[in-house]
Amino acid sequence: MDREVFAALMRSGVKYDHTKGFMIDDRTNSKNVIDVLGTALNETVTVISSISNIKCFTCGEDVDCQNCTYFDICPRDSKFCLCESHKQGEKNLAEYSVAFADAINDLMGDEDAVPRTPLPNRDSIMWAERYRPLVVSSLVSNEQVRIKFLKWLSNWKPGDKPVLLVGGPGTGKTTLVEAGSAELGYSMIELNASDVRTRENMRAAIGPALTSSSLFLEKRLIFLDEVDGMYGRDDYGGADFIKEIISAKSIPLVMSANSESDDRVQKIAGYNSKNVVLLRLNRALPRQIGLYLTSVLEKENLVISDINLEELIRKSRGDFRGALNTLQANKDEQGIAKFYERDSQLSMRETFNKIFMAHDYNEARRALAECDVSNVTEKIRAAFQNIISNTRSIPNDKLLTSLRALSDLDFLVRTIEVEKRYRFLKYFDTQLASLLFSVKNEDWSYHEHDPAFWTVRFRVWNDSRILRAIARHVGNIHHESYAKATAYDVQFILLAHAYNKKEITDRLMIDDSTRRVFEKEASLISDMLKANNV
Amino acid sequence: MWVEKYRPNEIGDLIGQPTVVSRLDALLKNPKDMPHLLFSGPPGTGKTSAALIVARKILGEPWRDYTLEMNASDERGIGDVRDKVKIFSRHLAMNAPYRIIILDEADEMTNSAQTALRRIMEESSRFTRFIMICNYSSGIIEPLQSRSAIIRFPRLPKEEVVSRLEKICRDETIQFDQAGLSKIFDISSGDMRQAINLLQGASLLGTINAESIEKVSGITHKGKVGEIIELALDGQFSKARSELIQLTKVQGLSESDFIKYAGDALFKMDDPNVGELAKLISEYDYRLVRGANPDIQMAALLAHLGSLGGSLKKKEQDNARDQKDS
Repeated sequence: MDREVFAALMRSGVKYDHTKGFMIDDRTNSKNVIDVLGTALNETVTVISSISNIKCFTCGEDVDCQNCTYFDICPRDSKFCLCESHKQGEKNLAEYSVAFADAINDLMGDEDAVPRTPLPNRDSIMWAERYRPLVVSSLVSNEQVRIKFLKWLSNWKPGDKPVLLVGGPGTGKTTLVEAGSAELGYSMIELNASDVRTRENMRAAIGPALTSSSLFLEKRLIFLDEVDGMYGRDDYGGADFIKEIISAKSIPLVMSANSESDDRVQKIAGYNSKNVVLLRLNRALPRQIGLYLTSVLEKENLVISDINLEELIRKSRGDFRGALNTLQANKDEQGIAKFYERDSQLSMRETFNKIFMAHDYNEARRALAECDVSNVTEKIRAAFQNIISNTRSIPNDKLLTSLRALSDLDFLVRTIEVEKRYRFLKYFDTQLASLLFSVKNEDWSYHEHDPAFWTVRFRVWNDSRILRAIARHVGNIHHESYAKATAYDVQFILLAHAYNKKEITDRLMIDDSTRRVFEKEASLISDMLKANNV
Repeated sequence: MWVEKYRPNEIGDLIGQPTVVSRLDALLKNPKDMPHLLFSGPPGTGKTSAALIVARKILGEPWRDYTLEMNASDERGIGDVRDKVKIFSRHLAMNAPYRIIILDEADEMTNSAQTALRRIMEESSRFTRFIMICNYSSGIIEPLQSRSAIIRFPRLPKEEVVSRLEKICRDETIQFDQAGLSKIFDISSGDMRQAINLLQGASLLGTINAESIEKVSGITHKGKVGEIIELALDGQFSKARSELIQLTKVQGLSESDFIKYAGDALFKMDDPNVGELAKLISEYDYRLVRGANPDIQMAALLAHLGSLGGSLKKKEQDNARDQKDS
């Protein structure tokens, strides 16, 4: 970084720490920082205010994100959150639930369609079961999806499409269906991955409900949990049977899966999920998990320090069940929950910084093994970004061997994934650690972004999208594929534009924002030609 | 664009393809007897144009309604084939003998999609004809090849390309010299689409001569790839990589197209190590096709080229020193 820019940042109240990078607090003069960054990067820097978008779910007030405890770890993509006064304690979770029940009853036009019961307390040993909400309104997060689901179920008539709930583990798929069906008076027939789901078994379990439901007044609902857990040979014919139920449409059917792009799910749900109503449950926001955990902690009379609670929320990654399990497993007899001090897992940043500081190979290997990101592709990407960010301090021959080794490793992982021979992954950490240890330098620090990409990111995000759209359009006109249009034609069209042959671009019938990108690219090309002249 | 303006409209307009022309002429005389067709040949030899002509001649005025044009490299999955082709191929055409489905770049289709096509081609042959277009007929699975008449388009001879370019120059009243046209042929290696694009690009600068062609080819992606390769061979890894990211991430050139052009550029360099270079290029190409991370693979390729370039230079210096010594 430029020395002057660094000094200017320091003057504006930015702090720097070798391990943590740059830090900003409320004493920082943010206006100055923006100015400095703007001149240094030669790009427009704007503050996107997320505050106005986020409203408190309970009272509708604007939520003050800047002062939120979870500001650092929150993705800030929800329209609903909780304001400062509504986020603490069980009383407020109850308030939240009641507000949700009111909102839903308004929408469904039926007063008291949804009971306003706060968090239940069942006698179960597993906390994840004990605190599983019994009514839809006491679930936390995914308000829109819950409303859609209740609407779908309460308005269900024969011929309606079934619902496919998609969401990560612990986002509340099963809870939503269980609570929703109980509230609306449905009796539920559930089959999950633990049942053998062959055609015969499923017919035995579901068949009677399909035919006799009209004879009794009892309303029935079929719930097929974890449809992506169906396996070809063991659950022979199961998927086809599900397809038959889907096309029959004679009984409300709900399915759940972790992802809709899974092959087995696509087989059932159809191309682009066209056979089903797709409802996607997002991972809960840190704040929502925090709200939920706080109420559980209060019920269990547990004490937890703020830093430990934050850590628990961070590690849970939006998984309610996982957070509760971790909490239950980590409480001691005095009722104090602690995770921070146990041989804790490291974030990607901590892992890599530890590797860079390592004195011998084993230290690097241990750090990599302790990383809380177990996804090997992520680790490879991080390794790549850090090597590529430090090319200046690597001698050429070492750069080649390390990139070559990384490319081998990347290819190996890809092959392992394609051929599903996952046991070979056990060699992965060793290889990556030795690779990193051989190139690293003690004054490296973790880079989150590839600098070559980072400098052009605005063009990648804005301009490339438009250029791609142009290529697709040109491809249609020229009877060729998008890739060919990119490779052969787009540059010439831009060149023609640079030379004021506007009739060609007029024929493309482009809109204003496209035209702006067009003009920019065209001027880049004419610059290039001029440079070639010299 | 001239590429569209000068696209041949009659079978007779196709240049450099006497055998193709005579075969298609024969087919068009009796459209009812036409089998499914498979056009194979290098890019820019008139395959798509021929397919469009066939569709227009057979279907007459409403040809657009009865022709489905699919670019298999854009829509190559089994889902696309099932959804689009199946629905389109099922119904009878009015006022036309059948419908025509043109599958461009069919060798890019996945194997499962091609297999799905097999049954569709048989079931729908009463109502529909397929024209598949590919660069290498080996990319089409055997059963599809056996269901269609294969027509091969050879590479265009230089005289034909040059004389067509001359004709365009006269129609557009632009100045040209033979050296310029011959340069166009060399750069485009006989690909008519690239040749016409280069011609139109250079015409914007004024007259067509070797210099203006050279200049314009510098702004094409192909020319850009050549520059990046030079940078990489010169050991300027970071610079080469940031140019590469501009080209692929912003301008949208696919990594496999990059490798293709890189190969073209490297093999033109007359390097004694050409075998090693080819091995290198093919290996990274294979890795990309198998789904490895393109960022990592491309960076490794550039670093690799850097090391080779360095050793090449050293060899040259050694040779020079040896000669001096002797």
